[in-house]
Amino acid sequence: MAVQGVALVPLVFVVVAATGCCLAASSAIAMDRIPIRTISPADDVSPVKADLGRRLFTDRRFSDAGDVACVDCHDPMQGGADGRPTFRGTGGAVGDVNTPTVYNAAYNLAQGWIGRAETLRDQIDDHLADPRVFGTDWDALLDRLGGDPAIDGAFVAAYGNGPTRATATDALETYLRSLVTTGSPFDRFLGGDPTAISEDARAGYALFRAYGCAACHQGANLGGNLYQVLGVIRDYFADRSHDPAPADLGRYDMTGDARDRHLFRVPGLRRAASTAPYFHDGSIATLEEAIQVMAVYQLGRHLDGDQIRQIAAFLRSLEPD
Amino acid sequence: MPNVRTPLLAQAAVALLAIGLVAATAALNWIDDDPRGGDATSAILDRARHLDTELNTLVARTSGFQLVHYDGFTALVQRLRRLEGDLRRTARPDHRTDGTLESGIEHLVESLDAKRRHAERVATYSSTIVNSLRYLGTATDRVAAGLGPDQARLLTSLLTSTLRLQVLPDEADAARRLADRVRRLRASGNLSADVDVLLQHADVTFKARRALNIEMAAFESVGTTTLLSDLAARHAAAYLSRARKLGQDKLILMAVVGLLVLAILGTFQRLRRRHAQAAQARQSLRAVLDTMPAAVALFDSDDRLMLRNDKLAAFCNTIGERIAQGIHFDSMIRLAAESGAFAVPREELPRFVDKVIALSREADSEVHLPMADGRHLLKRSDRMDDGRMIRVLFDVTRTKRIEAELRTLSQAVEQSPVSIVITDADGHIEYCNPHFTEVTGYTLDEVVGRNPRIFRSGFSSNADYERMWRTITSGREWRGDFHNRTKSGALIWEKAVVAPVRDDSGRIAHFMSVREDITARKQQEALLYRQAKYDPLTDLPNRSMALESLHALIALAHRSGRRVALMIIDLDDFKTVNEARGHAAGDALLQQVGKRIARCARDSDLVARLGGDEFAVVLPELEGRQEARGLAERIMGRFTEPFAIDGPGVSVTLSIGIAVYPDDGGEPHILMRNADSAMYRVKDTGRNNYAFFSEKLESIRRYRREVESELAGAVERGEIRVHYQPLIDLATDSVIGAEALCRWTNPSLGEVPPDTFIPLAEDRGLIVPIGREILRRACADAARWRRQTSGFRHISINVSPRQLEAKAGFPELVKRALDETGLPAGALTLEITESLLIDNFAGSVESLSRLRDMGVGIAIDDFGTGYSSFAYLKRFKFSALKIDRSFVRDLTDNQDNLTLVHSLINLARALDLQVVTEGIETEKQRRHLVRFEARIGQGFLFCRPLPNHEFTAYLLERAAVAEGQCLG
Repeated sequence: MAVQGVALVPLVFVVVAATGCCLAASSAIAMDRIPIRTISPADDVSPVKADLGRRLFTDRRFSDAGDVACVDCHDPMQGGADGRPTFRGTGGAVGDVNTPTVYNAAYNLAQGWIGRAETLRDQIDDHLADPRVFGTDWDALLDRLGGDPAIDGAFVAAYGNGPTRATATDALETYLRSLVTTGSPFDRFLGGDPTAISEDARAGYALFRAYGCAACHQGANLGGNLYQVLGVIRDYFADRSHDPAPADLGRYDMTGDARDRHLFRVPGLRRAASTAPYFHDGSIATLEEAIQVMAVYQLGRHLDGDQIRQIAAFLRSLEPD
Repeated sequence: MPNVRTPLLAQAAVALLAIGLVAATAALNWIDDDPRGGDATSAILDRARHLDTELNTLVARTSGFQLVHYDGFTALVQRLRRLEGDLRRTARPDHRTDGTLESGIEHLVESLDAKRRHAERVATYSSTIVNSLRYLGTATDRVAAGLGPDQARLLTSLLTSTLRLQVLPDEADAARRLADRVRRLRASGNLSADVDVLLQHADVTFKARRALNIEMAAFESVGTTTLLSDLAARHAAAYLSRARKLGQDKLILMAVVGLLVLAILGTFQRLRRRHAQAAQARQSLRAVLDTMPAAVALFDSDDRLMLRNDKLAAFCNTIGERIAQGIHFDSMIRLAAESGAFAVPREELPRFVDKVIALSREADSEVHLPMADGRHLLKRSDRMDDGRMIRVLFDVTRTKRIEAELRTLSQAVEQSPVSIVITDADGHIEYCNPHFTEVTGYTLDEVVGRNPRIFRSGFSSNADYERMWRTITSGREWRGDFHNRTKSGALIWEKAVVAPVRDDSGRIAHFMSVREDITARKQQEALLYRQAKYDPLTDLPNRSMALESLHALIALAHRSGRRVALMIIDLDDFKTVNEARGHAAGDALLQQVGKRIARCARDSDLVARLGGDEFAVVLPELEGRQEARGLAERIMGRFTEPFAIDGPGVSVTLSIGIAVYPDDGGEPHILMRNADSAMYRVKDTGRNNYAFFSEKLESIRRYRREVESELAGAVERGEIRVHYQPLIDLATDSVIGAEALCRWTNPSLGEVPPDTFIPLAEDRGLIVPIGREILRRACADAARWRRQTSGFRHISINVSPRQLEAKAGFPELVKRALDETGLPAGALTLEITESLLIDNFAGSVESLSRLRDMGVGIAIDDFGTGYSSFAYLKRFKFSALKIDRSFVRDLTDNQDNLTLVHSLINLARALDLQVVTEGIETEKQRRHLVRFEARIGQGFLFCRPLPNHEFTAYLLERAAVAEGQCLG
């Protein structure tokens, strides 16, 4: 690192000194390389297990009362989320955060807004035990599933024996790993077809990179792989109309480390266009508003109507056809 | 009888031999079996090593802003999580690992976990910085275009500093400059929202960089490298020990098997010769041989197969049953080769076959056969006395694998970035790795058989080594730092883990030490200590170090009954050097000042820089104050010489305050405070001196400080009042006016004398509001008195230099006061002091001229007491001159004084100045002055200064008397 640093200094200073201008920043930090990658499906997904997982995903026996299933919050028709500001669990329990999309979750560094669960398996366990989600336990769940010959048969077909905690978890995880939004117009654009997306979307993509959105929303999932503070440049919580809530503490809630206050997992944007409302508090209703809020609080910029429209067009081009 | 008995005995012998044979081969198999599950452990350690290296690389790239996305990071984190799970499973006690390996692995998992979390933060901070740098890069130009040139320049240099800080993150200097630029920009006036956002971004990069540095340091300090090498070495040493034993045991057992087979064959031969039971005997022999786990074959002197057991066919499965009796050994090998039984490339096959055949002819020979199906066979040939050969084939696949693994492990040890030394149980070195050679300069040949004490530096005590030795010989591991010496004599710091390695019987077979060279870290620690305790500019101890030393020295003095002096030395007027010559010159001066003070001090004294232009000397073990006085005088003496800094030399004077333990305080911070207050007393009383702390003087200072703080609100609280002393026409004894005098009565301080508070008020700028108040009231009173009596003509008011500074707007103030009160300008005289003319003539002259032009009289107060520069009298047109009370006081029969006052009055008249004499207290003085034709006077002889209502009464009474006299 030191060697690298020394090598960069003359470059930085020559450019700054010669032009008084500052594009040196970008040459120093290698931003000219493409930060967004085509998303590819997870390999080794067994279709039989994934199909079983999908059945479990829609099974209301996951809740003691039989009133909610995974799919009630993670609805494929709603971009893998629920369209509500905050989630609803069993018995009408009201959640404290907005439901993140279930799509491309396998690409996440950790799960949930604050990385409460490190892996998909942990997330399944966490949701099962959380009284605001399912509020049950594995024994009760397996009891309920055990008597069902159809489920039993599917398990035997996939795993050679009936449902157990290990096989049920594996089936659900396999299904989740299969939920990858491949084949978007933008991926075709990245693949070399410039007409795959509209002119607006292309302009939006350029803005998205130039304005620094892509500093956090990068990689195959345009985020998900990084934690960042909400309100880097301006205090989001001070300006918000409603009172601070415990969920606003962010990852601090997990780590107890003051540096993690307001730190959240950067959400992936592949399904952003279809998963309003936005942010952990679900306080922003439209994609356009969300873009402006991000620009102001994270980047210190104010976008005009055209710019917002272009970035929104870009984000819509990320949705699979 | 023997004929009958012999076969029975022989058969019993065969049976016994067969049992021995079976036992020996079973033992061989057991040796082959690897009970440690070592391959799994070393494989996972290898994986850990690779992932750890990958993580290091990725984090280095992240913190160097080389990543445009973090997907690789997520993937690596997922692999690390799996690894952590696998490691935990490996460390479970059901695997036959020893306890230290388990705890080592547990520690490794925790370390990897910690690194992973640090890495996550590194990614967060890096992305923050990249984002803000990007903003700065694109917005600075645009924003700078809308600014003035100075601000624009500041903004550009801010960006340069920001980048520099990111590129050279170690530069504390750059960080300071950056913070300074942000502050200056913020201070440089109203900033547009654009600039504000820009500064916000700069601030963000600055803070995130600090956080990133901390996180990187934390990441790098997680010692996974050492831990991994430690684990690998532990594992390797255990293996080494085991493999050596295994090799020995195996050779012995193989010899035993060979001997047993020979013995069995011999017995059978004897049986066959003596009895016609050959066929039966052969059957029995086959049966015995078939129970063996090894393949056994007997060849006649022509090397044709006579006898074999079933295992031979199984071992040579590619030719199997084609191994028939009578087949020549050479054909058998060729047949096997053609059938593709050996894992030997086709082109090398003929040579291989020749070699095997040649080697197999020799008695007591062994040859390894790598088989195509992955097995390794070892063939041992033994020649019997009659020329027949017995050949035994063992499956040594597992042994081979262990050997290969050992090679990998030793590679890990060989290539380890830390030093690894393995000794025998007596502490003699058996092995050292190349890194050890690199660090110490000793090669393996030079150290084998020697004791590690040759590396001792003498800096670690014998007791330390003994403690270590006791620990490891009792079977526990020892961790600690060594201060060792390399072959070239250089001293190095090593962090070491020394641990015993046990063999299978539980005896300590080896000791291994894993050492990391931490010389650089120790130096870094020393540097950090220095940075924390020393001032980087002068290289002197800083305040914190001074306080610490003071603390220690006080404790010492407490026992010895001696004294400790703390001397605080402050440069007088250092600010002007900085302003006039620049900060670089100021810094150079501070360095030289530090050196000069240090040269004056004794060796035992501690000279420190407390900060800014403030230094301190701690003098320990003093008998009395005299020594401190001596040093203060020595220092002041040395400071009469100017300092040679770039440009003309600079003269510096010092203010020194001294406090002594235990007289002036028992605690460092109290001594510090008291020395400080003594120093400030020097500052207040003319600087360039030293003073000891004194409780009495301190109480005066405290009073002054109290006066100062009360004075601040005195005008607002209405505590400032005006008293008036009449001005008397000395010829007629009538009141012609008054001098307004300022008085201050405070509820807690009582009456404060003007000579106490006026200088303070001037010093603190409070004289301006006070002066304004007096002007307003005096003009109002004077206007009223002029209306009330005909004799009262004018009012004199004292004006301080601060009031006349251009920015105070004094002429306008006077004009307003005159307008508001209706007092004519000619009725007002402003008194200024002589010193004002000297100190600040240029600044005040404009205000005075404007006042003069308005028709206001200007008088010189206290004439004759100061420099009496007559030149000023000519340069400015004054209206009056006041002769100071000190001349009047001495106005007795002393002829010299009489002449002096007389000539002053004459001078004033010559310059067309009115003369006012003050401080007239006796009738005699009055007579003299009348004789000198002085017109106007004031003093206690006539009246003391009076509050305004009393003055009104006095005035009316005098007027009534005068009227009465007229009437009378």
